[in-house]
Amino acid sequence: MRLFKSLASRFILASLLLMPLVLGLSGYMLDQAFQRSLSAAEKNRLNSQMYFLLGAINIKNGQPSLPHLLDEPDFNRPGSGLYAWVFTDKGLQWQSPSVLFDTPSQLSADNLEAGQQTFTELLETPLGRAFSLSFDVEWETGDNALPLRLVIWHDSNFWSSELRSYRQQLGQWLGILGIFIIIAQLLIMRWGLQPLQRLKRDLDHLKDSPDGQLPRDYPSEIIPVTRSLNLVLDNQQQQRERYKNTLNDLAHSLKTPLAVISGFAQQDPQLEQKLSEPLKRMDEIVSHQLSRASLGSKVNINQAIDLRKLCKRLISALTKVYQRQEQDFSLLIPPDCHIHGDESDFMELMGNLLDNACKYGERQVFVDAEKIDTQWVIRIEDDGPGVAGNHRNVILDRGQRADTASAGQGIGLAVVIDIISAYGGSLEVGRSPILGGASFILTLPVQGRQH
Amino acid sequence: MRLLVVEDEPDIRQQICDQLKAAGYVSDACGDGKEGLYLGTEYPYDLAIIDLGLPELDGIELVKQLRAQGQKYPILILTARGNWQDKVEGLESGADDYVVKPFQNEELLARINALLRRAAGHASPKLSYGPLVINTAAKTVSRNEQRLELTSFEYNTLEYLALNAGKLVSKTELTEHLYDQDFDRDSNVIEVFIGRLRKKLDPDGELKPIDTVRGQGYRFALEASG
Repeated sequence: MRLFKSLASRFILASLLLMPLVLGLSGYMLDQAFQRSLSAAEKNRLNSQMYFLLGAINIKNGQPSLPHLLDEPDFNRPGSGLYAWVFTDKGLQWQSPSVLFDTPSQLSADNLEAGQQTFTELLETPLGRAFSLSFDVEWETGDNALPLRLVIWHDSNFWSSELRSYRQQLGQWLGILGIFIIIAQLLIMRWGLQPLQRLKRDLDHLKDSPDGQLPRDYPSEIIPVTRSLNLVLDNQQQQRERYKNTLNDLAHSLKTPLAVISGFAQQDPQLEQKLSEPLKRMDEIVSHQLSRASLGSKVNINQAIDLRKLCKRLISALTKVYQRQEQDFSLLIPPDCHIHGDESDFMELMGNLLDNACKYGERQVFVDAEKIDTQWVIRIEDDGPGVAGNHRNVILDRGQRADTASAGQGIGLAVVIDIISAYGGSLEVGRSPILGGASFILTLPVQGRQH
Repeated sequence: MRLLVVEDEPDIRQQICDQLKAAGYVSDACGDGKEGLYLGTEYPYDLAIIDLGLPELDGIELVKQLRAQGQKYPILILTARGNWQDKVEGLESGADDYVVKPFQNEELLARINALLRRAAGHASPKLSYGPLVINTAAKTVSRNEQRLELTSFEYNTLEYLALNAGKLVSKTELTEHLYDQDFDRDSNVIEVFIGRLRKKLDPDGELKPIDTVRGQGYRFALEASG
């Protein structure tokens, strides 16, 4: 189920299922409690009416009599909803003026027993539902006692309307409570899931973290996750480091015997003729594959490289090798040109391009970098013969070179292209408008390597 | 020219030394950085070839220490990895050029030649002294565009004197830089070579390219004519 893939929708679904249950149950319990208290109030009220009635009874000639008009107006007003009857064992003796109907059949003086009090809630009567209180007494009249049954009915209209308005109110409050709980839950959920968003942010910016690890100040539930992640990162870093070292060792251990073989081959012109090409190819393959492999294993891509400083170092090295003057190089890279990446990648990238510019140029080399939107555009130009138009594409194909006669060119540019593509950039070869020679234009995203 | 070779791989070391010998250079070789440092500071070399991956003392450290002890001769580094990080570090530590392994012997010799020439202050491989032209790349000498037949010892003596033009070069210095250690220093072979050189370079006695400073040595007397 797709819905359950989101933690938020799980929480919301669970609370949507649970909340009506909780709210409904509490509504039911509150309703029951209110009904009980309403009924208790009704009973109290009927009790006091009963005492009032008892107080109003006079016994004349062995028969109970009550005044024509009672002090309680509801007994006097016909159809008021409050009714009273007085029975003796001989039958009905009195009924309140409010009674305008025939004596209900369920009222009788059967089983009259002094002291018996019966309260009935919501009794089915011909008038609808009503509360009924019946009270049996034995009235002392001199020498003998007169048994009496007093019955009071009160219809449930008032009770029902009270209950209705209470339920209405309760429903409103529970609804408001429900909305409030939903909002609160959404807020709580956002707050609770915030560390996960932070984790995502931290993972996104892992390349900016100085030690390549996640911070350790997460909530205790997330710490096991980040701890495991850090362990994995650490392991990976160590593994890559080992891999890189192994590759470097491999470079040494392959290149040295190659040099030995090549040296021996050169002592015999016939042998040299046969071996020079395969040896050269082996050397190129080893160099190229090793540089590619170590490019893929770069771990420390978190540093911001000062490109100007890096080019300055390369230029001062190249002035030695090519017997140039520092002023032959126009280094126009701005001091704020910082690119995220691995320093040795950029050393290789700029080293190869500057070396080419020295090798094929006459004297002048121009290096520039410019930030355009989210990209760094780096230009390296020379005053040499330039790259011929039909060779420009060839130079960009991996491992191929425009000029097969010049050794080193193929690997150098192939490495350049590998590095640029690893950093998500592009390379354009053209003619320098200023110096007239070749121009290499690199475009690299500002945030550096993307994977 | 006396060269120092510090390379831990015996085969490569031997190959380099053979090549140097064939090209007329004298060389001392050793297999670790510590010995390299000892030789490099004790003997007056004209150039050192140092591999970067050395036991005992790393190549870059060796270059740094040689430079720190005031050795000014050119240093050529050999590197197997050939990445720019290594090259730049090597050049920053004080080396003058690099060669990536595996290398062509011609390339190594051309680099050595260029470094020796540059150390003597010459930009071009051709040193011209009026009618006399010494081509340090081809190792030939011509006079009035006529090639002179010199033995390799004669050529080396002339090249050394020419690259140290104007300076007094003692017989001891010449022997140290041009000949193997077992060379008999008391012999008058040097004088014989100088005599032959003079005859070949200056049969008419007009040019007088080499002065003798009595009891002290020789001086190349011609001024470069560009």
